[in-house]
Amino acid sequence: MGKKKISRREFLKGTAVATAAAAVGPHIFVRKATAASNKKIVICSYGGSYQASQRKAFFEPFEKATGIKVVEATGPDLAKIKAQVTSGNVEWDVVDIESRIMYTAITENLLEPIDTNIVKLNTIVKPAIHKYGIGNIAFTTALTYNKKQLKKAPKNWADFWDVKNFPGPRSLQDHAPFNLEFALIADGVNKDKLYPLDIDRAFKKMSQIKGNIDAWWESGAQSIQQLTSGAVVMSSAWNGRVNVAQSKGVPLEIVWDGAAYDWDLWAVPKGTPRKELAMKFIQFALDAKRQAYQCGKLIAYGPSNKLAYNYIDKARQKQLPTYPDNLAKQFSFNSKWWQPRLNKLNEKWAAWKIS
Amino acid sequence: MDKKLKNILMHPTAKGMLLLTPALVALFVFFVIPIFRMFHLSLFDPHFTLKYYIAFFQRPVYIRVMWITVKISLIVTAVCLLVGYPFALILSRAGEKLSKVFLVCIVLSMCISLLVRNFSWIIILQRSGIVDSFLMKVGITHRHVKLLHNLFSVVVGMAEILLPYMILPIFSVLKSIDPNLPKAAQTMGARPVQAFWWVTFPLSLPGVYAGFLLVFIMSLGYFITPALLGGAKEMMISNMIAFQVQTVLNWHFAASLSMILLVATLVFYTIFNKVVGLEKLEDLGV
Repeated sequence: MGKKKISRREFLKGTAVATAAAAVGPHIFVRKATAASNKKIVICSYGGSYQASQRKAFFEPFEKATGIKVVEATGPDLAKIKAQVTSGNVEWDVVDIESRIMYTAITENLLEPIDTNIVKLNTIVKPAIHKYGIGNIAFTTALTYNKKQLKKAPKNWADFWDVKNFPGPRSLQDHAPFNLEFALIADGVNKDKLYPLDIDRAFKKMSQIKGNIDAWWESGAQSIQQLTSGAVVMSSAWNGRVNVAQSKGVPLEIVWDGAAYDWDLWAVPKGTPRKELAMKFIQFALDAKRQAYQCGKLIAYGPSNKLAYNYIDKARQKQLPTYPDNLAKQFSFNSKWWQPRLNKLNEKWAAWKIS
Repeated sequence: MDKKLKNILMHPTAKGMLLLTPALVALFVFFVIPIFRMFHLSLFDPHFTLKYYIAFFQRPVYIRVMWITVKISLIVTAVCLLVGYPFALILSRAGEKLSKVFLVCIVLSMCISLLVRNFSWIIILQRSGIVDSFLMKVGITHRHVKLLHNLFSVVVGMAEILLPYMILPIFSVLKSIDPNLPKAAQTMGARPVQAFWWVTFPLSLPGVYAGFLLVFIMSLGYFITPALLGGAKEMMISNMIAFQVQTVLNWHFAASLSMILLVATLVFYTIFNKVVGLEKLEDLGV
């Protein structure tokens, strides 16, 4: 074909086609992507050292065993899950979410029920089993401090509130759940009698410490970074991440007293084209030895498979949230109580913050 | 090609329209349609309702967030003006080469990722960070100074990023002022300061207005800096929208907040236009 000047009409036609393509383009692209064979699986988790442990214990072995590529995403927010499910364009095949997120996702109808023909549950502990999600690890949100920054060691949440004896900036997670419980424990409420929470009392107690909270953390990595750099002297933090930082020589310490334990679960967003594969991955990741490798060697969380403890040495078990001595000092975070109140209390939280 | 069509297409206006088409189509698909859908989302759940707008005015927290947004935007704009004007003035009087180097630097700074710049501020301003440890070493203070996660850090972070939008329009207007005018004032006996305030400054006002408007309107919708550098009280309206989208999952309300922000921005623009008259800016080619 020789060189030919494009006539104006052709040009116009061309633009029309191009605009039409721009308008429908994304849909065509999506079709293609979803129609692609089961050569990959997309998994979204919480990032940082936690996701790194999952990569080593589950993602890489899964790739090796099946030849299916694991594509990782980070930050499984509900908003993104909702956007994917409601637009019918589900990108994430498996998500790792906290229990209260799962309960909200269930009320919004965003999850596939777990296929128990593929996912075997006979050795999984009871509190980890739900219709729409299977517990992966138990994690603890605990008062954590930097030993170098404090002369005296805080023993409980009341010490966190005691700015006279434990001076220095502090940090807490930027939302209402967990914090209201910690405030009530600091105020003298028995950890076994927290629920139903006394909201007004909790916010009143929160107001006492507000001026000493230097930063409100949003990601787990942020809480550790602030503690490590000395930007804050104490913070709430997830125990596994603290454990990883400790193993790198950072002088952090966990206070188990009054800490909260909760579950991270594997769940499958509704309408994923790779549902069966997603279930197979969950089954793969619930394996006792793989969990034992993750929790025993990489990050100190509590495995959901009972048999995993057979492969974790005694010294290590003492660092896990599910170790009986640790468990006795903590309270179980009540997602069921929170779920219907979550939005209202988070709004109240935002209003309280700027007031 | 038939002659009639050719004539139509060769007409200057038609030609202009043709060239505009791709941009207009892009705007329509990626701007007008999404805004319309957002408007729809804010009013229908699933039937027509005004409850998401009423909620905004009923609960004082949202009005407060709006006020914080306007307050921070005004402070940032004022800081940009105070820092940007002298800079633009010096730049406009510097030699050709020097001013080119500076202009390239300003434009290059706009290419650096916002995240990188915000995190850099965290490192500079944090406890035991560069500024804090310097102040303690020199002995200006013996306690840690709180520089991060407050109004100060938000204003510094935003002003640093938005400064080019103030400098560039002022610079271009200053550059277009006939250098003979202040000189003439001085020959008539005005001191250099007088010549500046009576001649150069009034002539540069269109640039100031343009810079003011650009920075202020961009500030109103700012999200990342207050999120990273702000404390509890520096919650701007975009942060509230993100909170509604991500945490509360109330997309209808998030949409109505977005529409309110859009309308507020248009109101500011209109008032500004009435007071200053933006046609003047167009004459100057700003």
